Amino acid sequence: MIALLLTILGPLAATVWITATRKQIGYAALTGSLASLAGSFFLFLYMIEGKIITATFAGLPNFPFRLEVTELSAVLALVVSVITTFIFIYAIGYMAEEKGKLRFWSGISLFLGAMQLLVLAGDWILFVMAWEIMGFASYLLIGTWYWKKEAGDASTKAFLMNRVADLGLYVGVFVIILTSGSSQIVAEPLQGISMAGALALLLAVMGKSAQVPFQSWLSAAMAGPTPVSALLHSATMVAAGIILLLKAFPLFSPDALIWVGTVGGVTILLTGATAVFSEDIKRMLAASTSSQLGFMVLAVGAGYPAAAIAHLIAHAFMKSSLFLGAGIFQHETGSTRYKDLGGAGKKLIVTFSGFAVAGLALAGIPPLIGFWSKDAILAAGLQADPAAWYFPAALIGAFFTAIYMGRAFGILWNGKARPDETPQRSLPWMHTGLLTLAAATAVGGLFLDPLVEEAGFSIPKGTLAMISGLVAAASGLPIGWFAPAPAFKKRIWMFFRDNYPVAGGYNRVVVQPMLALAKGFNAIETSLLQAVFVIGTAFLAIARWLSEGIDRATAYVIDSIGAFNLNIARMSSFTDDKGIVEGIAGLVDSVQRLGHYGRKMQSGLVHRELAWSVYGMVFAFIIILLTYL
Amino acid sequence: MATDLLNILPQLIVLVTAVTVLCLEMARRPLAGLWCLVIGMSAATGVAVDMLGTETTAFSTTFRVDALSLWAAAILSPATILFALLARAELKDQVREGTIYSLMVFAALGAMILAGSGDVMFLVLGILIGTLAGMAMAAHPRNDPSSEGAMKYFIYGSVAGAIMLFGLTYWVGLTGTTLISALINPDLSPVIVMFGFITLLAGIGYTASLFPFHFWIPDTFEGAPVSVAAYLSVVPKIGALFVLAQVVREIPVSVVDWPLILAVLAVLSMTFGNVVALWQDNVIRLLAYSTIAQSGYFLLGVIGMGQSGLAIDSLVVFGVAYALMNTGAFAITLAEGTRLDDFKGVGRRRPWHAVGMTIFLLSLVGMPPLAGFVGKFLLFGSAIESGYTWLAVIAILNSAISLAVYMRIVVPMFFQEAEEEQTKLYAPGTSFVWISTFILTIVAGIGVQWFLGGG
Repeated sequence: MIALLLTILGPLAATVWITATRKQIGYAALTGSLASLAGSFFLFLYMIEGKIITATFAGLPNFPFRLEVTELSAVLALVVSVITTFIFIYAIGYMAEEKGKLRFWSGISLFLGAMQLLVLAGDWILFVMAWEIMGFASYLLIGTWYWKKEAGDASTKAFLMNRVADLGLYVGVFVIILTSGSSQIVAEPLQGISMAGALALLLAVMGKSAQVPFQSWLSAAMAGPTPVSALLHSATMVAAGIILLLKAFPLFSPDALIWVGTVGGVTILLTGATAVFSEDIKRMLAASTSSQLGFMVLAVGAGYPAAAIAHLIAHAFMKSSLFLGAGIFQHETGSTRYKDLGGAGKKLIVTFSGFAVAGLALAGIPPLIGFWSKDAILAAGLQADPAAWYFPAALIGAFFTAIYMGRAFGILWNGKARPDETPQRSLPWMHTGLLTLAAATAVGGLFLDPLVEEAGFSIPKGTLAMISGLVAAASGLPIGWFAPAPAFKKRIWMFFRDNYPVAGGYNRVVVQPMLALAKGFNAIETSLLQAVFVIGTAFLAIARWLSEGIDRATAYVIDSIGAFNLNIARMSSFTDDKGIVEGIAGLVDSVQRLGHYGRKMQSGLVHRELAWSVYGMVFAFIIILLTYL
Repeated sequence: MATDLLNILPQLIVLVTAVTVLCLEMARRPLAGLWCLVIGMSAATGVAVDMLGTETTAFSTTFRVDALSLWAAAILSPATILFALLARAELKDQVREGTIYSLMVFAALGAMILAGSGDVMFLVLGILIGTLAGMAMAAHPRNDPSSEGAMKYFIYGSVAGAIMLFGLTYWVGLTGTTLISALINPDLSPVIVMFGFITLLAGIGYTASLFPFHFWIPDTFEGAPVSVAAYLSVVPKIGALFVLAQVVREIPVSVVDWPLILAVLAVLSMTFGNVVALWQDNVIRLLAYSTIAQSGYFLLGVIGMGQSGLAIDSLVVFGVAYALMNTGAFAITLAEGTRLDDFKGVGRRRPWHAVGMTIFLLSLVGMPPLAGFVGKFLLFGSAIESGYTWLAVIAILNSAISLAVYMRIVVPMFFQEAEEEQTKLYAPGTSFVWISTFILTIVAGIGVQWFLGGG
């Protein structure tokens, strides 16, 4: 129980400490993550001993919150905390001279705490909660350098896209709770979960795990600091989608699984192609993340969550190492574009070797960790139904992976190095983080199988899968290495590289209409006030004119016509361009000029607005009458 | 008669308190008035809580003593104490300070009468008491913006009230009685029942600030003192929405399809409130539009009346949550200032204010595990159980938009520097209010199970 709390609350306590004291923030965050590491390690030990820990506490009526350490969640919690700890170590070096430390460290600790909560959640409401906190933390982190327009836009984009997909999670969870009458996450298949509910969950997975068509937020998220990318892309954020899929796996019927497999396969192919044609190392890695996550989604769709878990763990180590390596290159050359990075590998030989080990693992070279997990997915694809879709998709994806990694190696090693600049950063911290994670990818293959078995699954294997995977890796790497640069620059490839800018992309389809709607409402409000002013004044002038006695008619007519004209003159100056503020300023002004008119003018506003209310009532009456007829 | 009086004991205590506070103001003893208010309202809360679970009626079924009316007393009485403390912090030592206290109690009485109405007379009476007291409070500063706001509030109220009365006379004519429960007869002429219902919506929609009856809200809030704006955003609204629930459960859906019309109003209120709030630069105006949106969420619970077992629970829980988080947000606005720029750098200047405001706003969005989440969760559940899944989906989508609205306050607090380093002073009463609502927002969110008596 203490271990459970330590795992989740350690990083959260660090967040509170950081925001409250603002002292030693990097080390405070590291302490938090170490606490989480220790906690998850003990959870893992308990789990091996066969103890299942659950904690139930207050929640909604009949739906208590539950934390549960199952085999799966203990393994995942350990993986998350190990990777995060090394990324934190790296980040101490990386952020040493950057601005935005406070936002970075508080956000990233919050992020870790939320991720652990998500992994260990035993009921759907707690899960949603962790999911939301993580979404919020990622918004803060991507926008760490919020004064850069790019970073601000990227965080908004990531946030909005995830919000749209999160809708799926809410709907899905509602369906689950309403059908099963309980919010508990169960491992047994549940009867009666509708197809729509399952697909709603799939929508949430697609958003969080950056599956097509939601893949573009991930590459935009590159605007954040490198440790953030490393964290988002490996064991957290995107992994949350897969964890959702794993936790919800028992709810999916075979019909729904085909959809899952389709989403995974399409993502593997499309984003794999994007990675091959990228001109920027971080964008390549981002597209590759979507593609690798696609492998996991595909494996779940094929009905082999074990393969997905294996690849989730393996990918977490590989991708975090790759990002940390890319971050060092970026620091040393000041750029992430391939044309500036040529030959950087020769200068930074230590970094390059760490990067290369992780990259070869990702391509699927034995005995590195990626070989085993990719083999598992290929084998799952062969045994799935229809294998004619699953297996080729996975195989071509593996081939793409080998090509883009080969290409990155080729450029980093062969290109012409730029004039030497002296390294300026605190490399020891960064290298510690990178090399430890790279070492884990090198030897992790030996432990992957037992680890997944601890999680209560067994990895599918097959000779055919192994051989075809090796062939794909062995042929892809040289192609990537030797293919001339211009081959990647054809016009048609731009389409792939830029993440399929169909119809202006997501921005055009969702963000802009939303803002336009807001603008529209605002315009209605504004024009309403202006129209009100015009109509109200005229109306009142007439009303007043009529209300006076006949004996004073002559004098009065002159008066009111004068006032009326004055108003019209004022109004024409209003209606030109003025917004609500000037409307009000003008109103105040005319109050002074026209003395007693002021009060009545304001009631003129009300008069118009009341009319709107009456229209509303009439409208409501008509609707209700129609339903009756 | 004696049992009748015992049954309405909470309301009676409030009435006595109101009159006593008024007398103390005549004697120019505002502080004594405040103490009297605190004691009287605490007593009313205690009695109301003690009576929870009672299901009866008073005065030959014209007044209902049930979950809604008792919870209204149990929510609004302590809320009035908090608002009075805020008013003390804001208006201390001004002339006519004490009138605010007595008006607050009168308006609370109006809202409590509304929440228990079983008869159109009580309904009209409740709305009138609330509106008149509210208008006088809004006009308290006696400057141009506040007079304009109060005037709007008043004119709007008179017209909406007149329309409502006009329609209600048809109901009375049709059924031959002023009891709301007489409407349950399915043989009544549907067109007249519909007509009465629509005019009733005008009166209640105005009090509860539903679109398109909301027009007075932003100006009135902006002109009124912050504590009064906070008061108007909570007390009349809860009373009005509870009485709407009391009325609709007597109307057969086969005669008037009221869930549909309420669903349409809910969608319009939520969307309009959230979307227009995106454009406000003044925190009070932003919160004003946000209360319009929150009224829309409330309607999800009203729609469930008679169709979903969650309806009353959801209204009560969201009522509590709404009162807590809105009060807290207004209290911090009172301490920090009403422009968005005033919130720049609050995270550095007064970190606890920033944390508190963030919690209140996230609760308004409906983030778990805060009180607002539980309330919305039950509301959505109520709508879904009543067969309005599409409405729940729109409401969830609106929650997503509202996050963007509230982020406009959160982001400057933590991530922008104040242009000039000024520390506004504020009275300790404000701290008491926001800290107590802060704790309750979190506790209520986590402990709803106990809150509803074990569910």
